[in-house]
Amino acid sequence: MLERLEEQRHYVRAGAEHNANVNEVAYGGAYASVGKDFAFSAERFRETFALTLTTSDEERCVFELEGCSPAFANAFRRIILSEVPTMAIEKVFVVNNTSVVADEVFAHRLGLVPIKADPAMFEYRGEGDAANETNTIVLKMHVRCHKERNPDGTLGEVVNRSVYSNALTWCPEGSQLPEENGAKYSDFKRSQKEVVGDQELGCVHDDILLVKLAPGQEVELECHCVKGIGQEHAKWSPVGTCWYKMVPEITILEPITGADADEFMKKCANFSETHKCYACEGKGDKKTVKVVESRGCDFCVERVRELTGEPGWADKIAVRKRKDHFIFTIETIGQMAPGTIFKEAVKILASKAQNVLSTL
Amino acid sequence: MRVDSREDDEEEEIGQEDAWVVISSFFEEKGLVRQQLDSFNEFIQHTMQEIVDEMREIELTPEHQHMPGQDIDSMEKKTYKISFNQIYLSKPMVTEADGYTTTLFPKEARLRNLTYSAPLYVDMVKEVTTVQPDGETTVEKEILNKNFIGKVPIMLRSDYCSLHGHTDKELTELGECPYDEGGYFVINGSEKVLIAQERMSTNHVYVFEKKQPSKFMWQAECRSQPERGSRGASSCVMRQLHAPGTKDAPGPIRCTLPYIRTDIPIFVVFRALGFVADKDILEHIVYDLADNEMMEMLRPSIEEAFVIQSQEVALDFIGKRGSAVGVSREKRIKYAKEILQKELLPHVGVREDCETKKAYFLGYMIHRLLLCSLGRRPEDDRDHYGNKRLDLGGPLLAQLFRQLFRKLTKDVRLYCQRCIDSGKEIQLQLAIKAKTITQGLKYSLATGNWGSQGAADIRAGVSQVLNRLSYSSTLSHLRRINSPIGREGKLAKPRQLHNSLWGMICPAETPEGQAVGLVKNLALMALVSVGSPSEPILEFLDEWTMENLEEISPSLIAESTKIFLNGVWVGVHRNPADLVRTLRKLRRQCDIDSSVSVVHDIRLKELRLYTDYGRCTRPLFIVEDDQKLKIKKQHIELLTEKDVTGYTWNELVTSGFIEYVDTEEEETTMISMTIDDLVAGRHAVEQNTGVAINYTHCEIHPSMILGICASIIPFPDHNQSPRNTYQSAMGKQAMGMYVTNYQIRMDTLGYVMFYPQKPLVTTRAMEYLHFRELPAGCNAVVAIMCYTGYNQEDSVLMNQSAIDRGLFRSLYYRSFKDEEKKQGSLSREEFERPDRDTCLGMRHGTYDKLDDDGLICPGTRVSGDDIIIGKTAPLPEDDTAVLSKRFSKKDCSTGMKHAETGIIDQVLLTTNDQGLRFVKLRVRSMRTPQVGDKFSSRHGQKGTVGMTYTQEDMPFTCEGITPDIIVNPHAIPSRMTIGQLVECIMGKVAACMGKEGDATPFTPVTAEDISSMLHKCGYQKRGNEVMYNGHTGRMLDAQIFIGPTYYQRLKHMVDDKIHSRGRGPVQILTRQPMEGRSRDGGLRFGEMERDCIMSHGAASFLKERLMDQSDAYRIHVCQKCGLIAVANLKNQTFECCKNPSERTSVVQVMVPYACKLLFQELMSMAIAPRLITG
Repeated sequence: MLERLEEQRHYVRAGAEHNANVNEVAYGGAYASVGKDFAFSAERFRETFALTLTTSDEERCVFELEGCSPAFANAFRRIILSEVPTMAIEKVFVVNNTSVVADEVFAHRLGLVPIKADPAMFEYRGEGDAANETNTIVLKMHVRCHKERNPDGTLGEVVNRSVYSNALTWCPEGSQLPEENGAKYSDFKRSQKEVVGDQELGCVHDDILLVKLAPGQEVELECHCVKGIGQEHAKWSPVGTCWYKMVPEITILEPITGADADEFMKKCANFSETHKCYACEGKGDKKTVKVVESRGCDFCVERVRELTGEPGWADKIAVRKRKDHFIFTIETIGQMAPGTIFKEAVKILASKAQNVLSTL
Repeated sequence: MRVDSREDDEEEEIGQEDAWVVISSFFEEKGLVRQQLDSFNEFIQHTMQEIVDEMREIELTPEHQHMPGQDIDSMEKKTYKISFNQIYLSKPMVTEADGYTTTLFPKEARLRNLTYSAPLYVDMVKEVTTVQPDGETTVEKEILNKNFIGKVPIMLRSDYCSLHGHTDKELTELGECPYDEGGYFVINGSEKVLIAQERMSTNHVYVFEKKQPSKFMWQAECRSQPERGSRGASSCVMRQLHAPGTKDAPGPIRCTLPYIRTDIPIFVVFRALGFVADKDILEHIVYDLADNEMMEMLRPSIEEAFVIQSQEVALDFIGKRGSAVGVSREKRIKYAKEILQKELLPHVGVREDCETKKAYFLGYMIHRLLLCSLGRRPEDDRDHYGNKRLDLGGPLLAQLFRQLFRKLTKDVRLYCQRCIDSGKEIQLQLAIKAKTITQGLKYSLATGNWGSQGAADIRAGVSQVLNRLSYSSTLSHLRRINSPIGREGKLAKPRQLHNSLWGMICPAETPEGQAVGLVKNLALMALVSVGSPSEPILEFLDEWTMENLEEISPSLIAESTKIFLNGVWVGVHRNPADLVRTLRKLRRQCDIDSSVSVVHDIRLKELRLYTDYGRCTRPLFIVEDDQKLKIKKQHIELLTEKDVTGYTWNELVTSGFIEYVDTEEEETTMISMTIDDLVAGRHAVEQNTGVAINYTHCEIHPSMILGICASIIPFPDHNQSPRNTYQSAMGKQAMGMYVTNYQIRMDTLGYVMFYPQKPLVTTRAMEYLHFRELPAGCNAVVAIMCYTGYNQEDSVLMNQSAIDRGLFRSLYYRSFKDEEKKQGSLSREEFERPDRDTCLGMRHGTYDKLDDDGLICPGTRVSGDDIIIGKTAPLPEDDTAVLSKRFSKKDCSTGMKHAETGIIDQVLLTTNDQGLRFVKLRVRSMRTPQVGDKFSSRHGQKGTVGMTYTQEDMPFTCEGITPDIIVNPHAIPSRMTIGQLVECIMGKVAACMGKEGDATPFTPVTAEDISSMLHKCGYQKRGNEVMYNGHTGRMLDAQIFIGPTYYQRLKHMVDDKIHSRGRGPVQILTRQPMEGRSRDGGLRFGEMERDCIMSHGAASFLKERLMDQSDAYRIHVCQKCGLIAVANLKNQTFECCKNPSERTSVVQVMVPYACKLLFQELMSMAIAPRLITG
């Protein structure tokens, strides 16, 4: 096959102002004229597909997806962002709020607090469903800012000036609010502890500032968390963000020698002492640039790309990006490990596929 | 050696950065509403007393009743004299209905709808002189101290305000916003600003050329108004006629005198003033008798007055043309004399010995006219800002106070006269009607109609309700200027930006539309002079060998310089350069008031000095003769350590580093734009590479030419100018945080954003506008791209996930008020929950949310038409009988606006000044951005949300950034808002480096500098990034310009505008649908829509729209007479044409109700519209 076609099929050329060949050809017979068949086949996919974990910790993980189309990577990204369920505060019952923050603002802040609970243990709460131990987590908060009374009767330090998310405490027995119009705010058949086992439910972070109070101000409220997905509201999204990028590849098309090599090194390599993506071999006119790190780094890729826009450089060096190779990043907000989220996403995608199959 | 370097250090010049220290000290001392406060303080401290003093004492003699047999001469004669002396103003007070008086603070005034005013007291003296028939005279003097004469509204934060001198902490405790700068009044609970009124300056001679249809060629006019006193301006106009029978040759010059019907030849006027000989007169006009051209120009005038060759005849000539007809010659002459003395040019003098001065002034006016007529000078510029004066709160109130005080004294006089005529003792306390002043001031401030109620020459809109939409809109409103020229006027000149507005008036901030260029805003550092007495200057001039006009021979004038003080020609001087130098020196030492302006017009040989009020001034650095700034580094250091040194702006002025220069004086200065220009100029001279420029002053910073709203724009110097104007208007609609005490205020409308952010890219001036503390917007990540097509035609895409996370969320507060009004003397309205059994006219909304006290509980959710304040008014007893017995009350409740929902935020129950129960209630609702809401950047780029997309649908960069807002690239090229692009890349740099970006205009920073900084951060130089499509996951062809840009949420939201109607209420008169959303009105099918449908030929549709869906009405028409018949449908009887012999045939016709109405109206005018039915 022609080299040019091959490049077009595999790579995006990131030019100085324009990205060339961003499209992908899904039709397997597109290259039939050159005798190639790129139709999707499960075997080939199994062969070429690879997932390599780069870095991972509790909140962030980076891995590489190889041998799949961007549609595939994007499906994972979209599902992670909007369809992996989590628990979040949905209803706030304000008993008393004398702080300067309006109820709506406060409730909105509370909604965004990540809740530590395994969503798999809970059910979705449908419209009209009563709050029970399997679909609702009840958290309560009662904080009063006041001056502490010393043993000698004098007033001392002000306490509770700032209220943090640790003020929210779990009520495994359901709503603590008194009945209103003969109905309770929750309908727990048993303690939630039996549902979740020995887990302690609550907020993921203890130090999220919720509100600041002045002495004498008081906040008393109860929050009901339910299961939901990011599509409905961003608070149910398990991640802050999640994205991928194509793997860049810095390719020398024609050898860069002599003065050009000096210019290249000056513009793209020698901006910092520690930068080691490129090296030079030889001396004088024989001096040639070698790419040490074909992916470059955060700082040099941009410089090389810029250089390709300058006259004479377009044929010498190129920043290309592989269309079927992605660096995928998941940044969670804490309640689920990134790996779990990805696995969830895979399951959701699989069930979607199953759904398609079953309805076909 | 060390000592030397230290000295060098002290003499070190300052740089542009140091200028900001000076600017900071300016704003620290002056604040942003200084013109308002200064003006009001001047009124309270001086003007008010002056007005009381200028009032002549009241002299009364009893008018005796004629008693038969009583000889008037044998009775004692009494004369009464009443005079007003010292006035006293207390702190703002409130007197409750029960008579209890306490100090009033603005918070309470605002909440309880009180007027923030202070009682005014005056010392009065009553003198009774009794002359006994035997000639014995006794004088009885009674001194009455501190009589209450009325309440004067007090400007907030002025010297007499209760908040004066409080620290920020104390202000917060008093319920005030520490950032609020005052400068407004609180009248009946609402905040009122007095808008500065622009006018032409008085006592100025203007020469204008008259265009063709006019009888005159040139005209010189002077509106003369004395410095003190209440007299209105009297104008004196000189006109040069065309020579008889020609169109372009100059003819005689005539003068318009007040109260004289026709124009008087100027030589007659001079003769009437006592200058008879032609030579005498010519010397007063021409100065240099060798000037043949000018002499020739006067020939027609001399010839015209040839027949009148004595003062007597001249006076008689004038007197004959006066208003009184058929009086004796003596009286005419006396009348003419009086007019010349009192009415002609009163600013020169109204005493008897002013003829010489007046003659000189008249001569000067003619001289100026001739100069123009001869083509030696151009005509005067009406729009030059040096010829304009601003009337601020002080002078406006003074005008009002003078009228009201005069009315008060008149009433006192009337009352006293009545007392003494009836022989009663005068009780001065009863004579004073304090209401005159209290109500008069309140009326004008509350309505904006300046002048007493019902008077003819009222100006509307002088006082306006202070705009509280955003903090910058408030500030800008307090610095607004209005030119009271007819809005309809086609004339473009007064609306155009004039060169002389530099530094005084913001070049960008003006409304669009009818008031463009007529409503202006003060530039940041502009101040307005409050006026100082002219006497000290006059004394100084006398000492400095000024020659008085009375003492010189006219021949001297040609070679010396004329000195004008506030437009009055006071004398001449032979060595003006020295005099000017001394005057300036003294002014810089503050020996002469620093607001005095010294204008040395070398070409005209004039020295004009101004001490009057209303001149725009601004501070400038003084440049010394060695072309170096007088201010040095050491002074900057003193300023920066002001806590220790106590060195402030005031010291800079008194030490002569900075002076205030007004618009007219500015014309005689040479101002370098930057300190660098000064240095460059000096170097050019040193190295002989350029011509020496003798700078006299240096701008403190050129960005200070902008006003409040334009100072918020980053890089305005990169934008097309109208965009800055648009942003200046839009910044006033941005929500954010308008004051810090919004929770304890009860504003009728208020918008507060959940999470306002200070901008990443700021200007230096924002620091003084407290924009960081009270911001109005968010730093949104903005991408400029086409995506999905939902951002066409100025709409934007918005990230729904960002909205979920709180982007641009805001609260909307609306307040309602009601009070238990008195009905008659006995009954009173009452707050309660109305009952359907006893209450008449109850509305269909729910009353269930009310408590028993008629008020709703905070925290209750309310929606359209819910009743939130329940109130009933008792029905008069006699009415109840008619309307069945069961009703005893009428419902007067307040409901929600029917399209709004919310939660009751706060309820305030109190009493007002009449002791009536009074309720204010605030409803809060949350406004989440949604499709249709309006947003704008800070560059006049407004747009509505066209679609919201969740994060997964948004494009993303290789760093996972999704934009919050996507605007269409088509918004950029034609509008040329390059500033927005520069702001964006600077925002990106600022975000990367964790610093604020400086976007102050007129600084040496270039877009290239910012680009290279961005490149260093590892981004593409111009801010473009590779992005991936959120839907398909593929990389986008184009690289996208993306970065943080400060966006504002504007107050226009769909929820407040969305409207549709099927059926609904109709107007009573025409039965056509109501108009407007608030009344659930119909959508107008207007003329153009009608034309469109007609052109389609869709007749039935047209009829449906215009009649069936509007006001179709059935009438019955008599076929015989064609008029509307009487139809009784129940009995099926129809009557018309009362003629029983003939059976009338009546037909049924559908017409629009408006048509039926018209017919009936015509019939009432005795016109019979007959319908000929088929």
